[in-house]
Amino acid sequence: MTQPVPETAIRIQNMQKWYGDFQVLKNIDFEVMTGERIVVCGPSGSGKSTLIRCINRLEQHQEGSIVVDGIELTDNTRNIAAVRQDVGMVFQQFNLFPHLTVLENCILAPTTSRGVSTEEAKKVAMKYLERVKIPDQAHKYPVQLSGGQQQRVAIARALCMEPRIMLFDEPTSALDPEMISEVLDVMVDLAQTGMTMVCVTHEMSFARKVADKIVFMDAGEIIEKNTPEEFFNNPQTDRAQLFLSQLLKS
Amino acid sequence: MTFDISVITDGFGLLLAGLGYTLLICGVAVPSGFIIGALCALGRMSGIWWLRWLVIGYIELIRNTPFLIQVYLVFFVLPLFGLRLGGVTVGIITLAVYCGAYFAENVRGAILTIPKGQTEAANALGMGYWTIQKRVIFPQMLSYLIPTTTNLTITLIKESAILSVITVPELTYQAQVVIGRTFAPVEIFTAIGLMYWGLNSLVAYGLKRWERHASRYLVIPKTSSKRTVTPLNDMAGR
Repeated sequence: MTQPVPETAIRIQNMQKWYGDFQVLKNIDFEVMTGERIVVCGPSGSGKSTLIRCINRLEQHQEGSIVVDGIELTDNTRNIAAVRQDVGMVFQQFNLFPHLTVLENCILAPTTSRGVSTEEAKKVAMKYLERVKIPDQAHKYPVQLSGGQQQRVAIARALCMEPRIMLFDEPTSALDPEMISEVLDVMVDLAQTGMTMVCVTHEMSFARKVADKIVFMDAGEIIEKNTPEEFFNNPQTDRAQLFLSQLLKS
Repeated sequence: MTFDISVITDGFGLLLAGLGYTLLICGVAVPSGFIIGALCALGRMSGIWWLRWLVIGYIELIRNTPFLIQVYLVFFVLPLFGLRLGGVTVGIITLAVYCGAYFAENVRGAILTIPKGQTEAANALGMGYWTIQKRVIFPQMLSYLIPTTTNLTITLIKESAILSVITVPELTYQAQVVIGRTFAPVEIFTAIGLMYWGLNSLVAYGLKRWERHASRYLVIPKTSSKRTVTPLNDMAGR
């Protein structure tokens, strides 16, 4: 009996990006299968965030191709809108809408860009707020929540659009050490549901626990792609070895 | 020197009519100016170079010339092109165009205070440009915009007195009419001074309340601290 071939969720081929004269991403080739969990790591300024921001066109690439769920990202605004409906994103600074309550944050996009009724959107929002263990805060404003709670709301808000892919851009970097684990727990839980995930993070315990593949970047290039076991125990490049040794020291 | 209050009471009907015109002119011109300003702010921040320069030209021209000269020019130049408008219409148009230039900069400043991450998050959620402006950016702008709008509105209500030079029957003009009849400038100018002060105080109060409402999400509610209050009769026994 043949195994079903996993679908490709994201395919990036020979992608290049410049800021003016400075090339921030060079020859990026990588593929994410549906249900796969990828952790992108590397030193500061290596282009990790820029790379995942290209996946939902918050950043524009100049050469090469990015295909998300079979849709190529070009200047075509319909394609961009279609991809954004399918791809959720969680930011380092949470970026919750401060003038809206937690529940209003969660229902705004489904009601305005998907045409979901308010009642239906509220039901879905409460389901995801329960999943991130924060339903009792639904009527509070973001300013009344801790950083960890805000980030969990941000995850719930992204999930309310029922995305097929989730992007995480250093979701724990702005949090106190005590709050990191509550966010990571939610992410681990999400990974166990089979969600396709691309996470930029320095949380190596998370990477070990959930990643199917680790992508290591330096100076705008992917210099190593490996399973977590191989990456941690037997890094293939000197740069990755140095990075891991620095990380373990800290 | 005597202060004859009857001069004010006798001319109060005219002064009240003048106040009505001041309210009408400002009530139409200020919101219109706000709309002009908001559109100009978006134009100035757009990627269309000629629109940016057009808006910058308008703002600089209006801000760097006296309002009095603008009023005279519109009032005397438009008839040369066959366009004869009444004083009130000219007043509303010039005041709206004048305050539009100031509102444009206020709105632009308020938009710039909203962190870029807000637009990015809304974009990432698949929301469209106008929905983002209306539901994400504009409501947050209000808490920054209302204080500057309050200042500008108060200034404009006072500036509207200049329209008396083109015979707009607003408060200052009517005061001059009453003074012409009674030769009592001290009483009448004191009266309209108080009327301007009362009107501006009301406007400032209303806008302050709106500001508080628009900024309510920025305030962390105080946790209910249980203060123990000693009953008065207990204190009496000490």
